[in-house]
Amino acid sequence: MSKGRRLVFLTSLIALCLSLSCGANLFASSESTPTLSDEQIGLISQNCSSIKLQLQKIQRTDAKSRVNLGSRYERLSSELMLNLNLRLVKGNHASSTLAKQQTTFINERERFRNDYIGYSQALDSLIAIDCRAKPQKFYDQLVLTRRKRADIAKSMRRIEGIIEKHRVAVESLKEEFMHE
Amino acid sequence: MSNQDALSNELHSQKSPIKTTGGRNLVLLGVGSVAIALVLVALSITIYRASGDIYLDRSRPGYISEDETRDDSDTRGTSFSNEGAITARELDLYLEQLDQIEQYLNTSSDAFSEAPLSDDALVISPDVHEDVSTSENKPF
Repeated sequence: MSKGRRLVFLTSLIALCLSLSCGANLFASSESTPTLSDEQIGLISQNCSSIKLQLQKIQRTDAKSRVNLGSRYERLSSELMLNLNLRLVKGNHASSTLAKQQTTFINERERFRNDYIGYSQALDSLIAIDCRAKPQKFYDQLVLTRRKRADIAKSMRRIEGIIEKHRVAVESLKEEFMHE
Repeated sequence: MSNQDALSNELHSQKSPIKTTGGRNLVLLGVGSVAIALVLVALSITIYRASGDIYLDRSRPGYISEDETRDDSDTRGTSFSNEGAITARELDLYLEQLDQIEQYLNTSSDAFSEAPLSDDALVISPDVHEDVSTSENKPF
């Protein structure tokens, strides 16, 4: 391939990548930004201060929920799962299933923590927006915040799933010990 | 000019008061130290915010107080020793403790539900607003 052709090829490749990424962004933004009706814009501007107060209340309640849930997750991981696995290892009954569950649980707990941070940052930004002057921007951020909140809920569901599997594994281990 | 005059001139110039820059240096040191401290504080607060620790730090002033979150009486005694032989009885005890935690988690399973941030809850849905305003206008 000659030098000129190579240059044309590279340029068109870059142009293609750029147009693809722009297209993807446009698609994502069109998906994420529902257009508000005039009536909704009016409602946001009109109720701005009460919406903000409500958001601050939610922020406080969420912080409490995070602390309470986080302390249970921590307790389950460090005072139950870890100690059970240690005892099993010491007694030469190490269970790879239980050890894997502990690792999965720790990873998911970390994900829950990060999801909460992402959500809190989004909620903080939402509260900082002047909804009276910029209702559409406020609503866009609200949609993003909802998505981040849904991520936390999903993380909680996954943690509940791990705990359920853990219970089943411990029960079957108990059965084994009963037959020994 | 004789050599004697030149020598006396030189001696005279040496006797003139010496200019010291100690005071100015001290001020510069003070201002510099404060400036460095401010930069470091700004940097650490930026890192504190960017890392997200600000949202998890319970010792932060203005954050929820200890009393508000102290509802762990249900699981406070939850612990499983890492010493001793494992038996079916011990695993039963373990499952009991696991139950306590699960019960709490079940009661707060909707802690991050979508409801509080919905259009209806924030009263930015036109339908809800109509409902609210019509109910407010209802005669007694």
